[in-house]
Amino acid sequence: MTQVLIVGAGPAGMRAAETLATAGITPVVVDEGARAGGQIYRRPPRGFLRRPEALYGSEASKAIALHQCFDALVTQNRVEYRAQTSVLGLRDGTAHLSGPAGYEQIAFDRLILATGAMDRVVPIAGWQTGGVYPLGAMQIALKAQGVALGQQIVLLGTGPLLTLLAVQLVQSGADVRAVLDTSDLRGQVRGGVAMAAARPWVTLRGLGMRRQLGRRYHAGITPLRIETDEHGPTAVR
Amino acid sequence: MTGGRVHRVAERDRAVVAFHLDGAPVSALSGDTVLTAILSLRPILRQTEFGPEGRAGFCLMGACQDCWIWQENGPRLCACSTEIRNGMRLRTVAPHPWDRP
Repeated sequence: MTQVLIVGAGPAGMRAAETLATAGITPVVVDEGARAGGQIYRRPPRGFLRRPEALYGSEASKAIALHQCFDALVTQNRVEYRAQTSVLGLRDGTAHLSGPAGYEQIAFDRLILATGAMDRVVPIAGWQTGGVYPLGAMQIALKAQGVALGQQIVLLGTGPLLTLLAVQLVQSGADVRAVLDTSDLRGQVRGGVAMAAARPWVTLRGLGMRRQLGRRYHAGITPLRIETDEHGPTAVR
Repeated sequence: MTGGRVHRVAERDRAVVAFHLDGAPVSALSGDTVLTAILSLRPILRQTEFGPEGRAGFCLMGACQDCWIWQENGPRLCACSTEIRNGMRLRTVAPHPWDRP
């Protein structure tokens, strides 16, 4: 039988596994996570108590459906799931893996890479200081660990995820000192009209979130540098 | 900054896990990653191999290689992707002179 290897157990890898299982093929899914889910639909460790609605917001029902579907396939032995396992190399139909049992090899003849994405950060002076994090890291920390990365936090960037993360942090009780948006309000209104026509509910929800940020939110910011001391960032100019 | 970098805002009612950090007995909560455990005590996670500065992790999804921590018996582990366990003995500075700046 065809041996399919899927790398990554986020939404794409999990749905690929489901499609193959439905066709009667039993794929092997190799995943660095401790539990299938990936990052957007990442699951906290066992023993954490917040409900899916608190973790995934309006995406909760999709996240639950995805997790349940994949868990059922694994329980039924229709998908072989290898957690906490990294792919070190792929060559001539052999995958070289490092996992809880150490090094091992598995053979495959078809490969699906569902390895996801990582944040890219615009490099302003000071961005490389320990204690400066990309947006995705802040969301992972909040969702999977129940922590805010910082006792006092300044968020700097643009786009709808900036507002979403800011609201998630404020609602959780984190100390968000400022939300600095590099787009000016005029540009946001221009884009917002087209956005409101295409997706009115998403636009309305965004405006409601923005209102919750109140005076913390500043538009049209041009960041010059992140100031730091030996423990990390101290100010943004 | 004094104390830890992370601010626990939820899930605070978990069992305590005891471990050693740079030789000193400390504690964290069950389910913490090694990164969360250390950054709940300190602002900096580890000393980089390549210069004088401290690192505090970056991507938190096992991709960026910025959160390697050493165990006293030698092996490194990726702090953002490893759960803290009772009895772990961790160090934030490389154990070998050839691993330090």
